[in-house]
Amino acid sequence: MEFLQIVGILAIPVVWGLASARLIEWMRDRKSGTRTGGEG
Amino acid sequence: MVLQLIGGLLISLVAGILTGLFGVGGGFLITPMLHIVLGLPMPLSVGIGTLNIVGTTTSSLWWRRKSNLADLKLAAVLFGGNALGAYLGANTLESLRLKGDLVIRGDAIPAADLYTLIVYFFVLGAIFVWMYLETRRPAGPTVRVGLFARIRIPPYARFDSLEGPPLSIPVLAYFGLLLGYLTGLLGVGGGVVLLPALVYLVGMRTHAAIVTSSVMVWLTSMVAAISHASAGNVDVALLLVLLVGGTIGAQAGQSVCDRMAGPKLRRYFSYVVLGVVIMVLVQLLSIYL
Repeated sequence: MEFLQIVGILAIPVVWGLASARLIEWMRDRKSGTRTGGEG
Repeated sequence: MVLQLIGGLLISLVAGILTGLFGVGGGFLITPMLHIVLGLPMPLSVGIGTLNIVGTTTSSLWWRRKSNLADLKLAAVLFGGNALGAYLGANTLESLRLKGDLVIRGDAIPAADLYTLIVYFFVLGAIFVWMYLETRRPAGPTVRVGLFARIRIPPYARFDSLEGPPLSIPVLAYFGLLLGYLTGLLGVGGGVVLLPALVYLVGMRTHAAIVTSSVMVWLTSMVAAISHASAGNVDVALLLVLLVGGTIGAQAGQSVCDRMAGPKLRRYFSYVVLGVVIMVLVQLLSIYL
């Protein structure tokens, strides 16, 4: 397999891992922010 | 193909929960399941499993980035042997794949599949017996000292996360080599071996061991993934499905982990290992009977 193909394949799990984690973190922050606002 | 993707999604959901719960990459479950349930050749299962571990542990590490529990100095010493081991393990699997089929009772069985399953059975079986005995022992003293503290081969290093005497650097490096070899050969991130080893052999507390093992699993899986990607042991569609399921499951596992005590985590972990041991044994018996 060519070098660029290998780099591309390796990038898939790393990019997915970071993107999904940040998305879930953003969703959690948003959820907790809404809750705080409601309580206030 | 669609059934294969649905099966992959279910497998990754279960493995993802384990990732979040115990800090293991879930590879020890995903790789044999891809082979046994979905019928993929073992080298392909190992390759996809390894790449999936990179993804799930990337997420897991991102979530734990503020925990400050990881012992990076210990991880660096272990990784010295680990990288070489992962490369050697992946090369061993490739040699077995090139060996072709073995004929057992008139059936052609790929040598790579058979040997990998046998190693799986013994490694996971030993881990289960060890953990089963440990979780049933009465609670020990407050200061934990692992088995490695008794092996005195200089030079030594002291680690912040440990309360016992300094540990031998060669012992840790060779242990890392063994773990890396298993990662390359079996497609396990090493967490399934590393987590109990950090607790019982090194003497770390369970939660610190989970974070440190996540760091190690990520590094080792990356080295093994490079070797497997070079050998072409990849299915991108299945990998993407595994990543989606693994991430969803890991979040569920993480929230449960934060609410559980260390001994309880270890007990549940041993039951999961037993389940995989039984699955591999059934597969091996079906070959020989």
